[in-house]
Amino acid sequence: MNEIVRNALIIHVFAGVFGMISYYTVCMGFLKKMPHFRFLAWESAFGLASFIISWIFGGYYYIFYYGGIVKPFILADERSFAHTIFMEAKEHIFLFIPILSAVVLLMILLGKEEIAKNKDMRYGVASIAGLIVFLSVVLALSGMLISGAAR
Amino acid sequence: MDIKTTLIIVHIIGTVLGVGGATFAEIFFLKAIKDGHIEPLEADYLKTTYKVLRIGMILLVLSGFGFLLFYRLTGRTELLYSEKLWAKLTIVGLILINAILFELRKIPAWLGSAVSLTSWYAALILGIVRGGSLSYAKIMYTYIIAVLIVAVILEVVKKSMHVKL
Repeated sequence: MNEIVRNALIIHVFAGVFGMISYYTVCMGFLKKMPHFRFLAWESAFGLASFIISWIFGGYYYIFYYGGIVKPFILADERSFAHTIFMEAKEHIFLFIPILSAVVLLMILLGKEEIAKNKDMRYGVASIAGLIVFLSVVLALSGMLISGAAR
Repeated sequence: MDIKTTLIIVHIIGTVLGVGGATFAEIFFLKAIKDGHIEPLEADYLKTTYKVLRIGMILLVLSGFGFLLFYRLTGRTELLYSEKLWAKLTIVGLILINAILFELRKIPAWLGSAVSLTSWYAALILGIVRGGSLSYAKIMYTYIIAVLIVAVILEVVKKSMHVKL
């Protein structure tokens, strides 16, 4: 693994973790009676940027290293499920996360007044943020299984 | 200082803040509700303690993923399938889910407190214990028993303090 690929993997993982932490904060923030909108909008924007960065560097790692070097090894191994199930799922679920994150950010920016007044809307935004956290945890755990299979 | 040492230091600081935060959150909470209501100063102490706890959790999660990445980059990928590691991840996940349920008031206070306290100590113990003989099922079974024991202990402490809640 050369230096660029190595750094791409590090950025992919940490940007994803930062995004996950941001949306966990957003989820918890909207469960409170008085959400701090300004803080949550920034947190959401940071989370979205993190996921996009993770997306780009994850893609780079896949194209220039994983697909050609790691994938054939995993497929030939007894842990081939790491690619056929987890990487295949990861590739598709990964597409949703930045889009869902953008939805949350837009809801905070455009629907601030309604969200502040309506408890159901507040919980709605918290649910989408919670879904983003859940999906990113699934992706992180899948990443662990895939990395573990790359022996 | 090499990367592994840095990760160990950050991971220990995160665990210390988390375990200390969870312990003091429980102590302050019990002392605060002793008279049946929480004073503004007591609420302020609790808020600060929860903040410390959250910082501990962030450090723990970041350094934890740092370790996973370190294992991947140094070729020690067999560690990523360790049952002890997956049990620790499950317990950290339970701390996060417990916090959401607590905020939503969807978990009884006695259980929420016991889960939080036990989980933090479990994460600390699993981080210290060496050796690969512990299975996922055995760890989780012990963890559930520990949660129930801690719940009983907390109830006894509450009764002995004559908490009005």
